[in-house]
Amino acid sequence: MDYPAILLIVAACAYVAGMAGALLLRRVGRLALSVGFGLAAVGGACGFLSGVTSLATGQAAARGAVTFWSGPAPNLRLVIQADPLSCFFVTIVSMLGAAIAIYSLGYSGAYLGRKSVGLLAALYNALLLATTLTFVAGNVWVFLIAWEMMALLAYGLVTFEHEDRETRGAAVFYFIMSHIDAVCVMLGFLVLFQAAGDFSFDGLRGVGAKLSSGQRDTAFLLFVVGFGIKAGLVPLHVWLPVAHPVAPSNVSALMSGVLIKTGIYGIARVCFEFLGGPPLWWGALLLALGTVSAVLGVLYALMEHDLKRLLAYHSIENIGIIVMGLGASLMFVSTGHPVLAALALAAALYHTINHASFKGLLFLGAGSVLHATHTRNMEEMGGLVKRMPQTAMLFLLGAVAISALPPLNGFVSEWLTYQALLQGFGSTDSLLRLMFPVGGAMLALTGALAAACFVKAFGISFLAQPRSQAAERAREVPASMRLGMALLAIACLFLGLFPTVFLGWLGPVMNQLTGEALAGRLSLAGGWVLAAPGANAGSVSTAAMTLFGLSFLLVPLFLRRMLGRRAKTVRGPTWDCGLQGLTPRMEYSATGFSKPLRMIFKALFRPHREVQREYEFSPYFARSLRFESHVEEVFEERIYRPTRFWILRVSRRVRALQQGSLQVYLLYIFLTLLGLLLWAV
Amino acid sequence: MFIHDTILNRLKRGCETMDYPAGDAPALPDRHGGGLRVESARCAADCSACVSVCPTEAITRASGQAVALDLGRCLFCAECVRACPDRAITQTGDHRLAARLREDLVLGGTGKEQVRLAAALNERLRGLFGRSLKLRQVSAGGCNACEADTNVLGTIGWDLGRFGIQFVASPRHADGLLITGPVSKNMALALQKTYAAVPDPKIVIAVGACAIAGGPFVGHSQVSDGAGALVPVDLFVPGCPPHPLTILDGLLRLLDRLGGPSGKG
Amino acid sequence: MNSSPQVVDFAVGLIPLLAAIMLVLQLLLLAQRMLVTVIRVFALQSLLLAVIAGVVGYTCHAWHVTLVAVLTVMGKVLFLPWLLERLIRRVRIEQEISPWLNMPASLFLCGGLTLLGYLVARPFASAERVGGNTLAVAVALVLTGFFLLINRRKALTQVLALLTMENGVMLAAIAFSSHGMPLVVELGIFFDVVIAVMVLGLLVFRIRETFASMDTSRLNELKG
Repeated sequence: MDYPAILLIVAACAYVAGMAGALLLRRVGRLALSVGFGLAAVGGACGFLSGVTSLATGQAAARGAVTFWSGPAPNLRLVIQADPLSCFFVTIVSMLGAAIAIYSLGYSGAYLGRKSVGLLAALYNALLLATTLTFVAGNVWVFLIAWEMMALLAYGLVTFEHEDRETRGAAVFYFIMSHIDAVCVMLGFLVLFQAAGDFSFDGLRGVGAKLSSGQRDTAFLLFVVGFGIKAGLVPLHVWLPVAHPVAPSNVSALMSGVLIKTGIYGIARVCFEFLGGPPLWWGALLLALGTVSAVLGVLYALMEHDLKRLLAYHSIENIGIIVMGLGASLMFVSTGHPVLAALALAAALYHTINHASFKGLLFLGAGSVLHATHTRNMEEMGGLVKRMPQTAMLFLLGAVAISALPPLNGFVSEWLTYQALLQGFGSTDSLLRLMFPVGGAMLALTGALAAACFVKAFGISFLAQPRSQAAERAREVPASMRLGMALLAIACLFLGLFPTVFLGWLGPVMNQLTGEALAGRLSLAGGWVLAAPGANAGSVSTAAMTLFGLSFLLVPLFLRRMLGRRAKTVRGPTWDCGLQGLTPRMEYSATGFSKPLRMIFKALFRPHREVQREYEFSPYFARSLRFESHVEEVFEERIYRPTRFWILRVSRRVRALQQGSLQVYLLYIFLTLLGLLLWAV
Repeated sequence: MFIHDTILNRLKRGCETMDYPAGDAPALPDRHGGGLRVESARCAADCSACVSVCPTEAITRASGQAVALDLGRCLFCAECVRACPDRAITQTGDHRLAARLREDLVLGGTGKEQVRLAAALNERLRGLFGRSLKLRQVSAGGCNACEADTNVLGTIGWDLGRFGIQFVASPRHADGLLITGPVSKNMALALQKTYAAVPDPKIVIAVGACAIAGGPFVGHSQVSDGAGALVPVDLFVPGCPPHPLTILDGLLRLLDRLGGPSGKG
Repeated sequence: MNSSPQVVDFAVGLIPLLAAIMLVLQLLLLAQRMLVTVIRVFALQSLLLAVIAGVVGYTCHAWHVTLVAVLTVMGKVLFLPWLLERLIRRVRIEQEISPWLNMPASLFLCGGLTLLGYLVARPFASAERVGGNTLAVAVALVLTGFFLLINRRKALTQVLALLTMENGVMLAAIAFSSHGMPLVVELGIFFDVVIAVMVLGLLVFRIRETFASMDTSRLNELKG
């Protein structure tokens, strides 16, 4: 009995029930909330168990495609296929879906009475269902339908707080970009179809061999653009920092954690399974785009003082790291190193689930802060570590994880990525091998910048004293919100301390995509040590690190107990240089903290700074002071703005055709009809 | 070759730190008269010539009583020495002036012709601070002369560090305070907070006339008339400003590092 | 063809005649200014269409075509003209105002359109069920109906022009190919027409209310 498959169906039913329940009960806000999000949590838990057991027991690899419904046309079928890659991504979406659903039980309470919570819960369930369906789709129809549903439902969720003008604009922008990417993906699939003649994924496997090289390159580029927009790859990322902050925080967490991963899923499936046999420049292109995304993402994140925008830019950085892994893997496939390809792919996929867990945790933390202080602006926060201690600790855990500090999960996946990149230099003689060390160096740079960014994010938001009334009045958030965050924190810890266990589960996925399972090659000493394959590769053990660290910590504690018994402890205020008192105005501001980096990278940022002061006698005794500083987003300014300008300009010219009179429009139609008929004749 | 030249230069010049307290103390400058000595037995019956010339009213003489000179308020201007017709007040040329108790600075009574020099700290504190005393300097609104003369103790010639005495950046790192200046009202809170921030056990040293009794600013509304009004003081070093030798002598006396109860030099 | 030869001969002779008369009625519409007459001419045209449908249905034993004939009679000959005449009485407009293109020129143009219709229908001649130029007439009806739609200014006349275009489409559906259109398509077209007219009737009323006239050239701000 394929229990995991049954669990997956149960999960889907739970989502549908949650959707229906939330809609039917939407008049009774609290009940709709409990029913909707409760069933979503149940569905998520079932999906998670399904995915994990499928991978762990190897049942995923043994599964074929299942046709649920056949339509009149030969290719019109509802086909579901839960193979290892799908199960892996289903695990991610379910884990995040369940944790965020639990979080939403408390978070959505803020909307009760103001907005329809039932609608939020229903859309949430529907989005989880659509995303799960995208991952388990077995043919192009199901995939595209689920893809479009995802985009539409995500739009609905982003625009949930539509009273705000900024939100409306952001949601429309997101919608447009989703459709551009859907068009590119559709065109890509059409190119594949006309060689394979079959829309099912089974039939499309290996179709790359049947295509001419020009068609393959076209298909590859279409898919990279299409899935790249969805994933948020530079230069297609501009919608991400606009759309993610304005959504309700639980939705932002889901979007950053899962929806952008659908782009990664698409690239993985298409490039490895369908297209196959990649030329070297494909992997190099992905590696280059990934590197640029990683560096630019974190640089722009550093300049932000809106907490959620900062996290959104960070998602771009992490997607860059994942795509770097994918690119390296493709390059290894081209040069015939299946083991290294599997290693790089493992690094990329590991980072995918890691990013989902810690970014989800961070967005939920940001949501808690927003819930407590009603502001996203870091310049108005501060002192929250005393008022919201558990939230602060969980956020700190997420920040340590995302900065790739041992022994948490970010460290493990970046370590694996470094291993893959470092061994890349020797894998080929082509000039493109220089990209590997450059990529490694850039990865190191982003790691450092990410750490700086999170020192800023955590320090300014949580530490020191509150900078505003709102922050002063902040209270710890409800238990359900903390529980949701804690679940993701546990995931981060598990993924960090037991990487060998997780990589064992990932084996079937690598086997499916590269033919190399890396079985047993990655773990030494009975699973305690993680080792990279290869002659000069390194090994690391996060579990051992943690145990050593804890034991070292015990020594001074022990000494203190034994020897320090007579010492008395005096509590006093923090030394403040003898001033009358510290005020929040003496604290670092977010903008000030990032100034050194703004100056170092000013060729990229082109910072603009303006100070206006009003004074009577002397500039040192100003009556009022106005400070303005902003940073230019290079792609927005150099590419998107001119494009928009030219499109609008051309449209205005064409608009002259719109006379406004009914008769003229009818005349246009008539003339066209005559023209066509004459042409036919 | 900057480093090379510097090393050579240093090797040529050798050690420039003075031998004191192992050797003799450096001579006081000519204008510096050293301490004061009051022999009230020599005073004439109704003479109060010195009382009126003292700029800080350090000298008092109640009718029928002996003259009293408060060395803590004394600016060492020597006007009283020049004014006295009977040579009751004289300059000693002695640099040793530091005292433990405020009363020890009031000269004039029988047996109190000169200042009673400071005794060392008790055994426990000597054990803690004897070889390592970290001080936090608090400049409480004075003219900066005392700070300058304290600062010069850190230079090569004096080298305060060889005794394990150092000035530190935060009261949390310190064993005690060294206060200069009359403690203006603006600095009162800062001084109290600094004192509270120093961990126990702690000592306080007041250097200069201002820190002991307000100096030239005595009686002004914006001044606290010395550190003693706010914190308990363990060592008083009079002078305006005290010679670095006086300050050093006071510190070493406190820590019993001068070698022998009588001390040399 | 599943009937006796005489019936077929009769049909082959009658249908082109009726189609031709439909075309003539269409041209008459071009010249007509009184709105009531326009409606009546349309009703007559629809009746002819129904007769054609009935003959085809009887000849070929295609029962669904007969059904179409019946529906056409009920809908386009009886119901819709009644609805439109009622609308005219409520709105109290009697006459058409002058069109864009004057009558001789429009007649000339429609002649050209008829010729075009014939040219378009020529390749399909062999596939017709019953002989003659029914497809040509159908295309001509559509084109001239479209021209009528553009040329006239009163919303009501435009609705009628649309209906004559529908007549042309129906004619093509009945006459074309050996199997005829599937019934579902013909029913679809039929109901679409009925609903369209009802909606348009409502819109005409609203136009009248908003502009105090049915002159659609007043609708000249239809731009984004």
